[in-house]
Amino acid sequence: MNIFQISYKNLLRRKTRTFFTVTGIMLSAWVLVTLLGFNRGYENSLNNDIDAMGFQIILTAKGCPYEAATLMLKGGTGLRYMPQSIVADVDKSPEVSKTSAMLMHAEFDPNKGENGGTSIYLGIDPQTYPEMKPYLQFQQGAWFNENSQDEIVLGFEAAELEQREIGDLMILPGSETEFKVAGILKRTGTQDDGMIFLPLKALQKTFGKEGQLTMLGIQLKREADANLFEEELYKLQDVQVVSMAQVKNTIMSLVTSAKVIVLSIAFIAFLIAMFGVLNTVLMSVFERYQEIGILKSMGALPSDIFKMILIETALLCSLGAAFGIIFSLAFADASEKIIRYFLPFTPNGNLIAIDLQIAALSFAAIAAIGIIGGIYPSIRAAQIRPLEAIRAND
Amino acid sequence: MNLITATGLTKIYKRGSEEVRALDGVSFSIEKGDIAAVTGPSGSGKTTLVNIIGCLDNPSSGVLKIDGNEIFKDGASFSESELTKVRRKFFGYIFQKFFLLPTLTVKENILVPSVFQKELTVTQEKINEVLEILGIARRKNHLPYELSGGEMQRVAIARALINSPEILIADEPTGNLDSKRSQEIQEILTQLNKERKITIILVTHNPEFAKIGNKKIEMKDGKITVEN
Ligand SMILES: Nc1ncnc2c1ncn2[C@@H]1O[C@H](COP(=O)(O)OP(=O)(O)OP(=O)(O)O)[C@@H](O)[C@H]1O
Ligand SMILES: [Mg+2]
Repeated sequence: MNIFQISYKNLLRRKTRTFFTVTGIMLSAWVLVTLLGFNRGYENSLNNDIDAMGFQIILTAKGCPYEAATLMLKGGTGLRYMPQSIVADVDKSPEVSKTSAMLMHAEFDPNKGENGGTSIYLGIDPQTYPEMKPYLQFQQGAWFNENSQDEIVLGFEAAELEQREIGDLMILPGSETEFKVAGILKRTGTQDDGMIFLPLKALQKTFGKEGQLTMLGIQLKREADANLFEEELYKLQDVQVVSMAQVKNTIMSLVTSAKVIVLSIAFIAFLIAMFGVLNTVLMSVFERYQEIGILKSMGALPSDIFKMILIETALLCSLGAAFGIIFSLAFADASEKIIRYFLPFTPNGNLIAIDLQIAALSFAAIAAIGIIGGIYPSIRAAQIRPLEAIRAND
Repeated sequence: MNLITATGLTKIYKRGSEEVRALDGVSFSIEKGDIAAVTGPSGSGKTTLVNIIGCLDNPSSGVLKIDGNEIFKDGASFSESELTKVRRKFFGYIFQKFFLLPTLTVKENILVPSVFQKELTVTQEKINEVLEILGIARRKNHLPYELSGGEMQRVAIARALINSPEILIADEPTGNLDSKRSQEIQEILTQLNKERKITIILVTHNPEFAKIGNKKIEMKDGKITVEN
């Protein structure tokens, strides 16, 4: 016999009440673990996605939209250009590992769809672009080879819209040259899906943009100082620097505001659970007023009683926390689906990454909060005097 | 030799502005091996007296000596922890109500004092002995609700005996029992006193039961009217 056994048997005395208290703690543990897992998983996935982009910095002409969607809305106007000579300037920098020059062009295509529409073309350097975007996968075919000037690659949706198969010939609007479809990409869920890829030179020639670029993707060396390099780029005239770190920060700050709301809910759930514990334990102390007094007449010190009640609380909380963690692991996939449904932008990969550290942290946090809830009832119990208990209602 | 000596014990309860003198300057002594039967009308202060002797409560004033140690000095009061130490050393208690822990078996209930009294090591022989004396060995794995009132009180006595106390405080131990069970408890207490030399302080309304006492303390209005 020890205090632990007495505590444990007390919890079994009121099974329903114990069950509901444990359930309350379990729910808040579940929310907390899922939330922390999401916090980690989302950022990891976002980092992975950004790494997959291949370049950390994009250089565009000043005032130039770099979103395909914006181009669509503006009907292809608003593009500005930088001279191709800038590539050489950037390549000179010791920080740079690789660059890839691009020209984006939007053109109204009367043959697109029923009433025509704007097509977006991306002229790429067949030598560098595929290397920088290794995650692009082909449904059919492959990238055009390095010297080819009359082949194109279609994004998934572009191919669907144009109803093209590999090997088909296409004529770009306002041009005579025939292009052969060399490959069709798999769906990526990004703007690449609607894009038509051409060799850079061919695109420049077709639309009379020789020597002009809209974008330059830059991959830095591992040891390079990205901030310093960005500063340097700003010295170049008429360019704008978009770093993926910035993009990531923008997305993360959007997600953070959502997280704050959920975190507040979790916090409230926490408080409710804590007061639930306080209430349950206090009730059981009042119910056992006499019993506790008798324990004291049998030699229990106030500190023994304090310990006994606190052990009961700790048992309740650890049980709840353990079940909460199990549930959050078991239902991680379901939670992930819900989050994907509600969030405007979600990266690929596991959004909820629950690991041992998160589980341990949550367990500790909930046990701590629960035990704080148990302190007051434990003090009350410790103060019960045997005499009052013996005399009570006799 | 006097085991317990009380001098001028007084207990005053305050009910609002009114003062109740539950004990009014009581002095007496109890020797080792006595059965002291405390009798008197309801409200005369019997429970108050034995609670103070048993260190379950502080007196308002007066001196109490147990085994030569001055437990209560005039006017000084003791903390729960200090009183607990005296209780562990000298006393076992039984009450009108049995106060068994409903979730624990008979054997576990008997062991409860040892959970809190670290200095107390209870051997299996001791447990068996106590169970035998009280005739509840067959019941040792039962839960309290499976027992009769008489059996419950025997378990309570067994629990009070587990720390081998010198003094057993019994405040109306048969108050909840029929006459046959009361008779059994009387016999058990007499036997404990004879064979184990346990000093017993017994509060009872039953004059027959009071006869087992070699010492009689009669109370009225917080005062001792007869002591012999
Ligand atoms: N906590 C208290 N506050 C106020 N008065 C009290 C308190 N406890 C006891 N009393 C009063 O002290 C007096 C003595 O009470 P006590 O319980 O000692 O009597 P008793 O002789 O044991 O009576 P009974 O035979 O009914 O058990 C009574 O008048 C009682 O009302
Ligand atoms: Mg009484």
